[in-house]
Amino acid sequence: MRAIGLSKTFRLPREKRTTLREHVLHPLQRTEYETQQALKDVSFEVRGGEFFGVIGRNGSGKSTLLKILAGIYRPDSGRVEVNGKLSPFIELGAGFNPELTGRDNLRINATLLGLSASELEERFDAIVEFAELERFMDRKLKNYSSGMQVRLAYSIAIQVPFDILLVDEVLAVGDQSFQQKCAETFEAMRTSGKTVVLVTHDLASVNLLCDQSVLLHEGAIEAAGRPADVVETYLKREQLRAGVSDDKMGDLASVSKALMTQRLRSSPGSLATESAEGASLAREQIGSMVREQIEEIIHDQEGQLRSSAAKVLELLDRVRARERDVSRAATVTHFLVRRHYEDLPVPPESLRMRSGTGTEELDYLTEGLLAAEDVRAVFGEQPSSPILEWGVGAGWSMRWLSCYPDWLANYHGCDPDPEAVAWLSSNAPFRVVLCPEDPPLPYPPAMFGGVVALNMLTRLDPREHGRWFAELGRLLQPGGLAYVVTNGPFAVKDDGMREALQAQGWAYDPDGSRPARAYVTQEHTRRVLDGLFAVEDYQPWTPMGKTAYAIRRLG
Amino acid sequence: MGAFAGTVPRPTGRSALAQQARMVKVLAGATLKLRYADATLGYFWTLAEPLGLFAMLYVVFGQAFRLDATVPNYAIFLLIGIALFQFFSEATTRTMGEIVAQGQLMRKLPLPPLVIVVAVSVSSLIDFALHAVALAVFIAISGIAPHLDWLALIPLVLELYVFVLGVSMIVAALHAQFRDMRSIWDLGTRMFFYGSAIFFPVSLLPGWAQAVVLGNPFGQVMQDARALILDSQDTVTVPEAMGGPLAYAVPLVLTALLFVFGYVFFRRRQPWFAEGL
Repeated sequence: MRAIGLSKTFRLPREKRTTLREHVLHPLQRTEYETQQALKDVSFEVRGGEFFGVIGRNGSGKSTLLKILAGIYRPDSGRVEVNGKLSPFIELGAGFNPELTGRDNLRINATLLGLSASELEERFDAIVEFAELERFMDRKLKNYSSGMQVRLAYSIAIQVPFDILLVDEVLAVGDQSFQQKCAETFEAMRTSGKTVVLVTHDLASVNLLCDQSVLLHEGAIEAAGRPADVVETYLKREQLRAGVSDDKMGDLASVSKALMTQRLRSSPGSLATESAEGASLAREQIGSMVREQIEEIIHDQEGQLRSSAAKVLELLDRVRARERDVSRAATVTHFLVRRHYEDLPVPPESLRMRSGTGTEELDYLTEGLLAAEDVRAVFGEQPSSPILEWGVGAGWSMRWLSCYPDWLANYHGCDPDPEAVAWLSSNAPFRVVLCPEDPPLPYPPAMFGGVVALNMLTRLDPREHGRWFAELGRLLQPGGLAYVVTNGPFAVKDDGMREALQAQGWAYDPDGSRPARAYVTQEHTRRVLDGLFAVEDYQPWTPMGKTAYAIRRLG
Repeated sequence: MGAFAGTVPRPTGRSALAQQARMVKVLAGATLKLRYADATLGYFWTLAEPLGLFAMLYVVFGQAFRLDATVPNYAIFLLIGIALFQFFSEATTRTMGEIVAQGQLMRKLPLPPLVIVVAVSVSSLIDFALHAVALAVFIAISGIAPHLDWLALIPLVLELYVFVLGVSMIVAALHAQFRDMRSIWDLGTRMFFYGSAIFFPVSLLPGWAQAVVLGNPFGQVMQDARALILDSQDTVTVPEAMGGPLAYAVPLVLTALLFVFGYVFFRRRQPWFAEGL
């Protein structure tokens, strides 16, 4: 496949005249156009059997290029030579109709993608089997879950015979096990000598999968060649850019605060700024802020990018993009991060949340990152005395903190879950021990300068909190700091228990929407802290109403 | 897993055409499936509109204005006109809507816009065929016996189909650019309805108007169909209205010209459908 001198300019009318009436009424009024050159003289060659990556920022011309290659747009000049059957994978499930059954949609979509009747017959069962939807084919698509739809779409798309595949950001979809299958499919494409053109801003997958790549910038090719080099060019320019915008950002602390409040997982648009412009600015600032924080993490001690930098930056871009398909994109990234992030070991399935959408791990990675950053903010760059994390779980925050060697040396973890402890002690370079469900924890008094409890108190009956704060106080040196997350929802066994808790002012049920849950009140937390700790700072932790406290042990 | 097809034949002109034909088939099939999803009920609903129109016109013009006295078998006469008109207006209006509605799809798949036009017209043709079944029932009830001449209806419907396709391509291409085309076309089809002698006999018109109606391919097809089915000497067809059988050249050439013009017009505009919609 060769692209020769492709150029494309879009004319965007300033004021779109879409009716004949306007043309008739104002025949002399010329429509004014803004021209936007999406592609400038783009040429490259993709050899058979090659995996070819096209990367670039949003708006760099990637999608236009893809659509020209796919024959959807027509270039203003230049041409595309294709030797072989080309299959575009621009959007999964194009033409799906919710009112029709899975079976009908399969037939329609497969045909639109180019399968002949006999090919479809041959592959029908394989598609259904791959999608794991055998029992659901006669159900209307509107009754499918989004996961089922995407599985069906993906399974059809990969069954379309092709020599050259054009892929737009769709590498892995669905839950963990399905993503594994997607990955296998890609491997299979390589071994069977297929040509793949991957258009993406997913640097990690380009680095990982592609043999050749080009970097598009403002419609022109900025770099071409080995993916590692091209990705590096991209990263260098991006860092430059990030540096510039950081200068303008001003008070980092206030952005950090906004970040604390909003959290990355809050839904797009929820930024409580008056105007849309303000919201997008805040988003941009938060994005830049996180980027800066992550960039700090991904540099090693010599200031060189860690080998995994591209993947982390990519993860960031996903979170930052906040587009409608962010969850799908996040799934892709999380998949890549899980498989390929060398520095951060990933716990086995059984240790992760068992329910969820498949983006959960990304959430945990991100929350872990944020928690780690919070912990560093509370305890300083280099803790002078040991710090204990009570309830390390699968080690999400520890893994991020382990990026700082000084922290690792001084960081201890304990957890009541034997499986987590077993896994972490053999797979991660952390000091993790098993601890009992009830105090005391197996450490001598005043051993730590700091204690971290991210998700332990929120799971406990608030009547237990007093005991636990006392225990944390026992472990801390006088004047030591604790960083604890509390005020989360906890399970209420029955109405009687809730009423009892409520009567004592210990818990409340803000809107009655989740009667099985109650939330620990701040008053309660203040009461149990009284006399033991002084509250240095507290911040909302998630939209669920948890609060993160930085508290200092009283002398 | 054996997920991939082995070697793939290169696409040739013919296989591309076959692929487009398959696309037409599934798209038209999907439309029909959705419309007739509730098998029998769907069918009756599609009959409701033309039958309602029929009932109204029959009462007003057949009974009140006594056209049923002038025109033998006025009910069938009217039904033939309505069925043909329904095909024409449905196909053209729906093509117009679909070309815009499927814009999203065209941006994601290399889907030739012409495929959409053909798919809509094919599904309309099938609707028409189903309506024709209902029409046949009415004809049978009214006691008209079928005869072999009726085979001539097939080329007539084909002619009408080509005409419809030509008009569809033009209005669809215009609609993609001008969104008020829909209201304009609503008016257009209505004028077409009143101007095509659907509910009154052509013989009521002055000579020049008869020639206008029958020079229009739609009028020619309708009148020929009426003449065939009703076997009536009173039905004015092209030779009577336009002075001889050679005048058939007018609607036929018009059909061909409209089709060719529509095709060229549509093709010239289609690269911008995906980009500009």
